[in-house]
Amino acid sequence: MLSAPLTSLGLFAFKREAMSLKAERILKAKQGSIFENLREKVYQTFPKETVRFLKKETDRFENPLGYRLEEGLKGLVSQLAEDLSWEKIDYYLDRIIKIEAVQSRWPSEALAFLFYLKSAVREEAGEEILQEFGPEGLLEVEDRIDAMMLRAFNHYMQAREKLNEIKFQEWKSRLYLLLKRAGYLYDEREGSLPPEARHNEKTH
Amino acid sequence: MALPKRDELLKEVNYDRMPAKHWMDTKPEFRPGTYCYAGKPSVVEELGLPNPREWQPHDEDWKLPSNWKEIVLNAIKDRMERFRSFKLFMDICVRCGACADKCHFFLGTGDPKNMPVLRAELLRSVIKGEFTRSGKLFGRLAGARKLTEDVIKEWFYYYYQCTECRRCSVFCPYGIDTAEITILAREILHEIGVNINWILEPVRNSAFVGNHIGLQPHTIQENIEFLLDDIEEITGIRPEVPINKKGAEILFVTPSADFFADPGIYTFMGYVLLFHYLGLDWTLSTYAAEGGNFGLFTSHEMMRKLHAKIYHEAERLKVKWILGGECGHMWRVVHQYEDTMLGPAPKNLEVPKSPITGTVFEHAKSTKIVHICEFTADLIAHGKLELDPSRNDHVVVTFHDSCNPSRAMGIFEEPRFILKQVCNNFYDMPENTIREKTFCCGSGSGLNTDEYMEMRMRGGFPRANAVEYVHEKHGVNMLACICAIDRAVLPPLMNYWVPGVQVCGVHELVGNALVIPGEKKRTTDLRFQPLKGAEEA
Repeated sequence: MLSAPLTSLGLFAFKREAMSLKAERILKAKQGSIFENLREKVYQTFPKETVRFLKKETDRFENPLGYRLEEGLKGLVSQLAEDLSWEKIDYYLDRIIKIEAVQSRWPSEALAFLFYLKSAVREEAGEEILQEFGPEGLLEVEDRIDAMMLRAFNHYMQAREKLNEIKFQEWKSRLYLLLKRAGYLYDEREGSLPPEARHNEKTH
Repeated sequence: MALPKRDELLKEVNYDRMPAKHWMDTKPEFRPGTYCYAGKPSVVEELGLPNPREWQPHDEDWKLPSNWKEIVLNAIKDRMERFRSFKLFMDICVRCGACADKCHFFLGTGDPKNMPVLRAELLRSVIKGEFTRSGKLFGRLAGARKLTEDVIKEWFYYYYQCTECRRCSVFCPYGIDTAEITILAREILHEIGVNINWILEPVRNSAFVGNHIGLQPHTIQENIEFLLDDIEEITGIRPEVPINKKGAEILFVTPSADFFADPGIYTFMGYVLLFHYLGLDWTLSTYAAEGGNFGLFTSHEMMRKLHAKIYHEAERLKVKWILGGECGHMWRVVHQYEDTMLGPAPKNLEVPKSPITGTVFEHAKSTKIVHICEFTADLIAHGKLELDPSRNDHVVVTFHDSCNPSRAMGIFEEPRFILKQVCNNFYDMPENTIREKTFCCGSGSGLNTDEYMEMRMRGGFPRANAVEYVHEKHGVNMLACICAIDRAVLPPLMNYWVPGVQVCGVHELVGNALVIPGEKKRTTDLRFQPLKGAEEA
C-alpha cells in the first residue's frame, strides 16, 4: 500500500527560488492554445462520436467525463506557468488518473496525457521559449512535466490498489455479520482495533 | 532549431488510438474487470436452463450448441410475437439521439456502443438482416447485418453493460424502454446458455432455499438474534422478531442482504425498532426471505417463479397484506409485472390498511403490497412517531433515488419527506441527477460482482460525481438510499470516487431518531458511532 503522503517524498522538495520557470510569461500567454492542443491529442484516443459529445455538453453533471478531463488538463497547463505547488498538481493529476485507471488501459496509455502535454508545449510555445531562453528554458519546462509523470505513477498505483482493496472490502461487507459472529473481525466499536488500522478493518 | 515531435515516439508505444471503423466492425475485448463470469454448469443444470457447460467469456470458443443460430432466431421471433412492446421498440426508433448521452455507462466509458440507441441497434440490425427483405438485400446500407458468433459476444458484452435503469427512456420522445430490450436480449442469450453466475447463483438459492446466499432458516434467526443483541446494547430494548408466524397481520419481505450484510443490517435494525414502537402484528418468512428478484434479469418465467414464493407464503401464513422493505428491483416486479403475471393476489389478502393510521393504500388494492416508505411517511404525516432528529446530527445526508423505486414506480417524495423529519441536515444533489433523472449506481441488474469492479466504477462515475458536489458544497457524509444493491455497491463506489461518504438505508436513520418509550439514553447510533455531543459528554 502506498501509504506515504505524496508531498512527503523528498524527491520533489525544491527550494523556493527554483519554483517558477523562466518561460513563465510565455506559458501564461499561450495557456489557451496549449490546452486546446493537449485536449485534441487526448480526445483523439476516444471514438469520434464520443468526442463530439465530450466537447459539446458543458454541464458538469451531464458530462462528467469531459468536465473532469478538461478540468484536470486545464489545471495542469496552468500549473506549468505557476509557482510550483504539488498540492495543486496532485489534485489535477488525481482528477484525470482516477478516471484513466478504471478505463481498461495499459498504465502507459493511462498516463500518456503527460507525454502529450510535452508535445503540446513544444508545438505551441517551444520555438518561442528556445529563442528567448535557449534550450535551458525548454528543458526546465520539460523537467517539470517529467516530475509530474513520476508523481502520476503514484496516483495511478494508488487508484489501482484502491480498486483491489475495494474488492476484498466488499466481500467482507457482504458477509459482515457472518464474519462477526465467527469472531473474524477486529471491530473498532469493541475496542480491539489497532490504532493504525482505524479505517482499515482487518481480519485475524 | 527544429524540435523533435514527441508523438512519433508514442506510435511505437502501445497507445492504441480508437479505430475509426464502422461500429459493426469493432469487436469487444474481454479484458478482466469488464465482464462477469459465466454461470457454473451445476447451477445452470439445477435451474433447468439450456446448455450447461464449462466456459468463460474470455475463451475463444463459447461452446454454443450446434444449432445456436436457429435457436436465437426462433427466440427473437417468439419474443416479437409475444411482446408487442419489443416489436414496437425494434421498429419505431428514428435515431434522434435524445437518449445517446443519457446512459451512465456511456458517460463513464465514452464507448459509443453504450449509447442506448446503439445498444438497441445491436439487436435491431440483426432483426433487419435476418428477417427483412430490405435488410437481406441492402445489408449494411440498410443498417442490417447477419447473426454471427461475434454478434453473440458483442450482445453479451453490451447487454451486461446495461443496468436496466431506464434513465434513457425518460428522454426518449417515443418512450422506447431500453431496459425492456436488455431484458429480452438477456432472455434470448439464456436460450443458448450465455449467462452470468452472479445472477444465476442467487436465482438458484432463492428458488431452492429462499434468499440470495442460501441462508437456512436457523441461520436467519441466529443472525437476527445477534442484531437484537446490538439493539439491546444501544437502546436497552429487545424487540421481538416473529419468524414464520401464522396468522400475523402483515408479512414483511425485504432483501436478504439486510439480514447479514453491512450496511443493510442497520436498515434492518431500523425496521425492527419501528415495528416494535408501533406494536405491529408482523412476521418474516424464511422461505420468502428475499425481496430482490434476480429472476427479472433471467427471464419472465424465472421472475414469476421467484415472486410467486412471496404470495405462496402470504397464503400459507394467512396474513392480511404484505409490507415490502427497501429494495430496488423488487418494486419494478411488484409495480410493473406482478399483476399481469401472478394476479389476482391470494384470496386471504385484503387491501392494505395501516393498523395505526387507518390509511387504506388504495394504490396497492390489486397487488396487496405496500412500500415501507409509503407506510412510514403516512405514520409521520399523521404525527404517529415521536422523533428526535438531533440523533442524526452527526451525519449530513443526501438521497440517491434508486432507479427502480423512482423510475419504475414514482417514489420520489416519500423518502425525502421521511429524511427531512428524521434528520436536520439534508441536501439534495443537483436536479438533473435525481428523481426521474437519477443516475444509476452502475452495478444494478445483477452486475454487482467483484470481478466487474472496473466497469462498475465507470458506470457509477456520474452518480459519484454528483455526490462529490454536495460532499464538497454542504459537507454531505451520508448517502441514503432505498435499495439493497445500492447499499452494497455505493460504499465501494464512494470509497473510490468520494472517500468520506458512508451509505445507509432510510430506515436506519428512522431507527436512530425514533424515541421509544422505555429506552435508555442513547449515546451511539445503530452503527455504534457516537452521537454528536455524546463523545464530549
